[in-house]
Amino acid sequence: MPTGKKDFDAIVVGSGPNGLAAAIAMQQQHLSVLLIEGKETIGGGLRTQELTLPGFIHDVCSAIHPLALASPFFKSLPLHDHGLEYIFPPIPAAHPFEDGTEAVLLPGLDKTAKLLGQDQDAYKQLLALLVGSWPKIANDILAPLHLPAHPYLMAQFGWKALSSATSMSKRFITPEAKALWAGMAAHALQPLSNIATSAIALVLLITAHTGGWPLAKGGSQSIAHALASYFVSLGGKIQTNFYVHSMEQLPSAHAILFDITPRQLLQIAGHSLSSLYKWQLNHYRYGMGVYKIDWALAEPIPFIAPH
Amino acid sequence: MEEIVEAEKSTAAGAHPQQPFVILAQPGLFDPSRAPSGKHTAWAYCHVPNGSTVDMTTRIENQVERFAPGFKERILGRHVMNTVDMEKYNPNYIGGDINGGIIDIRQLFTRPALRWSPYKTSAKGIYLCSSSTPPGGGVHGMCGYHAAKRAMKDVFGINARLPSPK
Repeated sequence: MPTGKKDFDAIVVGSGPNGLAAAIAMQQQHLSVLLIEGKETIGGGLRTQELTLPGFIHDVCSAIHPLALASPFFKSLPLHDHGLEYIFPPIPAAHPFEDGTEAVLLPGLDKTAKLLGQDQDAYKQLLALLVGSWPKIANDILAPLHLPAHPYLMAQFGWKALSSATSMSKRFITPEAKALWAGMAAHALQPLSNIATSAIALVLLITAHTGGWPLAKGGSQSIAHALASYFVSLGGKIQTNFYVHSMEQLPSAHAILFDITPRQLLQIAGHSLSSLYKWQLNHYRYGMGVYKIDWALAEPIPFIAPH
Repeated sequence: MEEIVEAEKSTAAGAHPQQPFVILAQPGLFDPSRAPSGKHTAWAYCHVPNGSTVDMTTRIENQVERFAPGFKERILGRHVMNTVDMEKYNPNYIGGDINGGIIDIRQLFTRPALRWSPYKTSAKGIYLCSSSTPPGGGVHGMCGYHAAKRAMKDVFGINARLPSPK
């Protein structure tokens, strides 16, 4: 333990899912932790608001949560006791075609494969081993680069994940399988011909076939609320409406963890960083942006395709 | 598939496709608490070049209408956010990038910089725990968990392990 009196053992700046996770992990070890949020409400990308009309609530950013469910850390927490309920739509995803047909992702690997006709075997061959061993490899995949606990299985994931989504799609013949695959890979926010774009597609398909793609009852904010409620029950402190512009604003602490991107870290803590590290952060690259719409609707969307 | 590949390629190159790839969800179908009785909500987005302020509303709604004729007549209200609005809502979404930085082969394992530990900055006691660190974007908290583990080991000499699932 470090010596010297400080206001807190640790401070976490930013209350998105990662800031909340960091704060909880440290509070669990009986450190005293202060979690700071610049906005009025905690949650980062996990916020739900009445964006359109009174009585209509919308997830401002994330809405569907395969990875929250698959997360080895979140899984270890009693979030249900803190009010979190997941709802599982019977069909994780569907991709419509203009003629009214569609590609459908079902919870079951075999059932999904069956709908892909000629690509039934190719689909199963791509995913069966990984789906079966997901509980063993999830910890290794959702982690920094390290020696994996299951090297053979990780290699099976790795060689597939590192290829580009366009080259991987050559395994498939049917438009349904190709569309399903490309739709998953498009979550990578970069051209599908880029190397390693298969990784996100594989993880999304595996999670659909293992835990499912749930939404949080009452909106994504419920996930943040459950995490915060558990954090506070452990003795953690939260301060909202505190936008951090510089290190000088912060109470004293032995460790400070920032749930922010390199550009903001340069602004807040630039003077305490080495010139090499600042140079590295300045060369960090951001990807495509998103344009988002939320609708209040009189009736469900009348898709021609049945799902 | 060709349409998706083309849309993502041209958007990454700085263009705004006429037929963008739209990711859509209707949470109200499965969670009645999202809207007044009998009414519904829908959520959708498409990718645009970083920092774009082009209005994609018509293009997205045309795409939905293409696969669901009659969709537009059912709209009671809408709320749109371009990349500037996204960044204002959450300052981590630089230029509208919701993943905290591109996850290509160079930044997959070296985000945010090539270092022994990605969470440790060059300053003692200061760590990054955001989606700009491994394993990257998505709601899983694993960036935060691994950063906390690193900080606890360095600063407090604590070796934390994942508790068994509850």
